[in-house]
Amino acid sequence: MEELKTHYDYIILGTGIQESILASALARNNKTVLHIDGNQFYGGNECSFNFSEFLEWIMNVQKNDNKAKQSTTTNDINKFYDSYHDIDIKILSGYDIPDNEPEITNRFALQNNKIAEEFLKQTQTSVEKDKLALLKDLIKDNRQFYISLLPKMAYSRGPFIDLLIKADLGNYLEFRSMEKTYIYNNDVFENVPCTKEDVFNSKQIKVIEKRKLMKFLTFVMNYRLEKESYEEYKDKPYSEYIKTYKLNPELQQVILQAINDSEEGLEDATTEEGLASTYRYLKSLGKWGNSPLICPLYGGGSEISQAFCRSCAVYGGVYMLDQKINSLEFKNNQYHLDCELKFTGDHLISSIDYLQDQSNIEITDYHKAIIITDKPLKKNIDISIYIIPPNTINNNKNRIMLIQQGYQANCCPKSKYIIYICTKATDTSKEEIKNVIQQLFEDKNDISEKNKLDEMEGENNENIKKDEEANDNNNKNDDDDDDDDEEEEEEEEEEEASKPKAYISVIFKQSIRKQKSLETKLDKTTLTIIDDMLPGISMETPVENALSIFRQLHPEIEEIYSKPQEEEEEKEEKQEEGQKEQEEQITNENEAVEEQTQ
Amino acid sequence: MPPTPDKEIAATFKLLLIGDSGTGKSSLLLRFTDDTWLHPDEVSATIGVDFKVKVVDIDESKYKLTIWDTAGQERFRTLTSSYYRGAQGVILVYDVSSRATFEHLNLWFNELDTYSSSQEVIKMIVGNKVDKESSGSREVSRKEGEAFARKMGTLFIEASAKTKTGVKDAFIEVVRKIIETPSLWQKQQNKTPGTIHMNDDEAPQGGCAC
Repeated sequence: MEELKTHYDYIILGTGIQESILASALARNNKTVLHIDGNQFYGGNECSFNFSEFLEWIMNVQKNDNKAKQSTTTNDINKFYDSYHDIDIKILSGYDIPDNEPEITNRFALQNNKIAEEFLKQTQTSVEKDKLALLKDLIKDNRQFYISLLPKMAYSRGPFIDLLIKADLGNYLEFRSMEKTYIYNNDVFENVPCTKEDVFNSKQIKVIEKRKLMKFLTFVMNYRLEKESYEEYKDKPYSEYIKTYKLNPELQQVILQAINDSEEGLEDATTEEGLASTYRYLKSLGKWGNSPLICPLYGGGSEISQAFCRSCAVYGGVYMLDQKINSLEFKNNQYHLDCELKFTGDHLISSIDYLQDQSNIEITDYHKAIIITDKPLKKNIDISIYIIPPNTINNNKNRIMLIQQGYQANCCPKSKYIIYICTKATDTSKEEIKNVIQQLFEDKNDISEKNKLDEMEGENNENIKKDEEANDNNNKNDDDDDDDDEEEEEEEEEEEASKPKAYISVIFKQSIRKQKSLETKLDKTTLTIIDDMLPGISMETPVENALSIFRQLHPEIEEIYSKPQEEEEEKEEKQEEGQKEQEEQITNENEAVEEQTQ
Repeated sequence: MPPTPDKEIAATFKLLLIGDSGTGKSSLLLRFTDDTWLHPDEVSATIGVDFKVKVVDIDESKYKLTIWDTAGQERFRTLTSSYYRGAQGVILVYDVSSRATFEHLNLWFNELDTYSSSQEVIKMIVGNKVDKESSGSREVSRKEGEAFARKMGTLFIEASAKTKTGVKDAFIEVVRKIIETPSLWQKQQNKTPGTIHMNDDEAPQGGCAC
């Protein structure tokens, strides 16, 4: 077995998306890379968890938060848990307790049930039977859950997709179109029109408004060619510029709040920033389905990290996870890293999680929630985005964004959904998130399964009666169609009336950290610190960041993912050999196979 | 190679190689797909092998195999979960001249239990480097290997990537078992509609929205 190298061109700490893109790019250009993570999992702050890991993460955040309050310091360099605070857990009450639990022998299931119990002990005042039953039910499908700490999607046209194709990572990742975006208006979520079809089909928009909106959208698609038409508004608020199109307030909200990928909407953006943002959104329409965004399956961020890490490994990168970093020093022009083994490196690229001196960083806090429900927010819609503009639910100050992912995103078992809520932290943002949860979800399951069954039977009886009545009516009135329509409407109303149940809702604060300046104790020419990713929906900014860092490190490399010559030659060779290979018949050797295998 | 038209392919299977570093996983793969063997001094640990594609004929049907190598990520057990995802067959490799690699199979079975997407996935244990027998450096007997495979309910074969012994048989036997277990693959062949893959990037271009 080949000896492991101890010296590398680059030591990279943290396997977040940006670090992983850099790792892949460096390895592809023949740099030796040692890629380390202090956590057991890939993805850093972009990681995703199955259900039991999610419970463990919550417990760890709570423990870490308590520790911080008592100001006990740890000697581990990894500060992963320090960016999560103030975690609140609510579990649906009144869940039906099964009369007799089936005996469990599977070792994973036993372990998971233990975690569920431990979780209740730590986070609740007492272990209530209904809550334990609920958690055990969810944890049964443990591995079908992919719960992300930073859910992300990607524009179908943009630097992220370009990079995936250039880096040839198509084999590692799968995506699905985001289905719909909604905006909260007059106490309901309304569909956001953005394509021609949407605009034309919309019942909410009047014809005259449709024309104005089309005029605006058409302009944005070509705005860079018509600079003079917005020149005087360039540095003025986008909201003012939009007013010149005389759109109604609802449509203005749609443009400022919903059809962009910024963290906080475009309320405070300049016209130039705003147009660029709207353009990025519109440009991606029509490539895959009726939406500009595609959602990576199996939890997103972590999958994307892993794809880039694998591509780094294919080109020789060495991977170590779950590393306790004992020390990291810069001496004699080299970084000396002491973890499971000892290594040296010429350059260090470090996620901000591993920055020893945390005094020089700027923090922006976001309040977030993760909710697991039994139903989607909109009937028959899976992957979707919901925007709550300021002042729409109990006078919320900031824009609140919800992302829903379910079975279609391979993030949940069937008929479960994950809803992520995010808003910029203010002194009221936590309350605002609580209000949103209260408004949109049910937190009790008052009717036990048995009562429900009884009720259903009752309903059935009633339905039979109704049917009979309906038949009677039909006999009197021959217009069947009307009757059917009415029934359908009734059904829909019923659906709308019962809110999704929040099986578990977790509210927390996340600090997004950024360095103020590059000056640190370590030599700055060989040190690169990677800032946290912002919680905006798309992948474009982090990709651009990573690529611009790469260009700073290696301005001499023009094409990061140019195909190595050897590979090209190999391909040609293969083409020649192909014919022979195809003719190879393996069937003849079947007898031999049967003999040798058992 | 001129790609075999997809309509002639009866099914596509994903196979994986796992096992300790230095057991010769890449050598087995290269022997099977390219019929080449490089001396250990020439190969540094797995570089540049992501996966290999090979079309095999079994009972007059063509099957396309994508066989994934570990890319060195087995060394510290940092294989990604997507590596395991969707695999129908797994080949667990140990080195008959290294007892430790045989004993570590337990850890690899554990890893497989944790990550593989189906309980039914076909497993084959391969005792590689039987050519070393002649130099007297065998540390794990064939009997022991067989007994362990029986205990784990998997297929077993001894092989040598160097001398070609057993290599083709190992892969083909796994594929045969997969074919015999339609529940493993028939669903996956019709990928859920709406899943987007970057490789078929040139999806219908709907043009601009406005």
